[in-house]
Amino acid sequence: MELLPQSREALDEYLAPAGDDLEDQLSAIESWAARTVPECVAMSVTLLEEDLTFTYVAGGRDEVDASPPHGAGPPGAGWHALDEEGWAALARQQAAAGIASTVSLPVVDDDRVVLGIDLYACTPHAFDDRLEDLATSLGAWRGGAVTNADLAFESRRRAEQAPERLRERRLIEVAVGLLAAREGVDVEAARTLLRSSARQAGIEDVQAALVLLALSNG
Amino acid sequence: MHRPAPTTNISSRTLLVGVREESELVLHGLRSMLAPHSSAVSLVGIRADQPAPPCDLTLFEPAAPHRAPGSPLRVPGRSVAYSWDCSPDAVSTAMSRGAAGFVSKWLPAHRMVRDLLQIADGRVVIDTWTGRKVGQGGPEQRWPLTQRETEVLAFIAAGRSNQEIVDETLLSINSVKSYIRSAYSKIGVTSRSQAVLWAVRHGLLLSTEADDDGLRLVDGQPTQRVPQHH
Repeated sequence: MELLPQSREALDEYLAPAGDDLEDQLSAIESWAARTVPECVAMSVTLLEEDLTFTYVAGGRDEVDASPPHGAGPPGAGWHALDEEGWAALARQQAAAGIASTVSLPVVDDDRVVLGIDLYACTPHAFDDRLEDLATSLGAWRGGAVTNADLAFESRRRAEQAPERLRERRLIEVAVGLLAAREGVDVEAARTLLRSSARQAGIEDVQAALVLLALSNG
Repeated sequence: MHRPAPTTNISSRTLLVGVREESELVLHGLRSMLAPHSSAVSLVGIRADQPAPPCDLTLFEPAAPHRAPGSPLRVPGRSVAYSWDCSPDAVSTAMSRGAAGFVSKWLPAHRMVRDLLQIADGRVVIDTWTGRKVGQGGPEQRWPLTQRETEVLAFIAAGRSNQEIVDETLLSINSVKSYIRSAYSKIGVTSRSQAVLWAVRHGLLLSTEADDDGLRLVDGQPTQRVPQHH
């Protein structure tokens, strides 16, 4: 599998707080998943505290994308809202092209879920009887594993948004640093000041940061 | 990396520099010292009890005995700290209070004029030259970062992305990240905002409006220049 271009870009901008090399860790997870589940065609890893998702897709598999197949839509007449089979059929109908099953595995550290690993396969039963092994090998919480929760491959959309998210965070961080210097306060006080100013103005933090940066450059 | 002082927009006219609440000795001494450069810089005394004339820059002594510590600066034009005390603490305190630059009272006239012209042109200049040779200030005076770390940190403070720093420096992305990490570690910060704060307090701020000359860092060390390309 290969990193999405947006994930490549996000990884280049991301600096792990602890100094660990996130790319090496992602690569290790991807290699292991591809070996263990040969039908695996995509993988996403989400850093939950930072709300950042990085996605790998199988090389050359253009069909693995987040767009539902043409014709997908709500169930027709005669379908009952409590019909689980009907829901499953609907999920498959609306699944991303090329994805027939998924498993979401939370990784817990110190009683907190810190990482979400989503694996995507091109066959409906690729993860059957493998959940235990997957959870153990990936250090994930077996009890928290959920199957077919992301047939629409939403994690790919999140991964595509990661570079913009990081860009906004960078702008905010720089603005906070400049504000702290200007006001003679620490960065946490400056962050609070920026947020409250943004709220008062009815704008997003990043918009307030942009205003501050423009004023600083003026 | 040394370049001649840039030709500035403001150098085409005389720079009007206010000198705030200084003793007659300093004001007259400064006037005499800068007299040969009167076509470039003109001085005017500013007193707290009188209306301040419009100035391009205002020199102030951060350690002036009548100034309340931490009191905000209200001066015409951009304020420039001007002091005998060029210690890192004195510089960071003055910069954190909003000074646009810091110049030593030990500077020779030509160097002071050059610094003032650059500050008036929108650059942040910290010139703490005291005439002492490098190393006489003791180990605590030494700049903690390598040239590359300094350069990368200046780009961080200017809001550049990692990829933009790669483009500017022609380093690999891994090298840039490595320099960021080592710089963070040496200056004791863990976030970009803290790094920016440290950079500003130590005069490492690239003006994004500057042309090709970037920031000049003088901290009792040989002058370093951080290149800036647009």
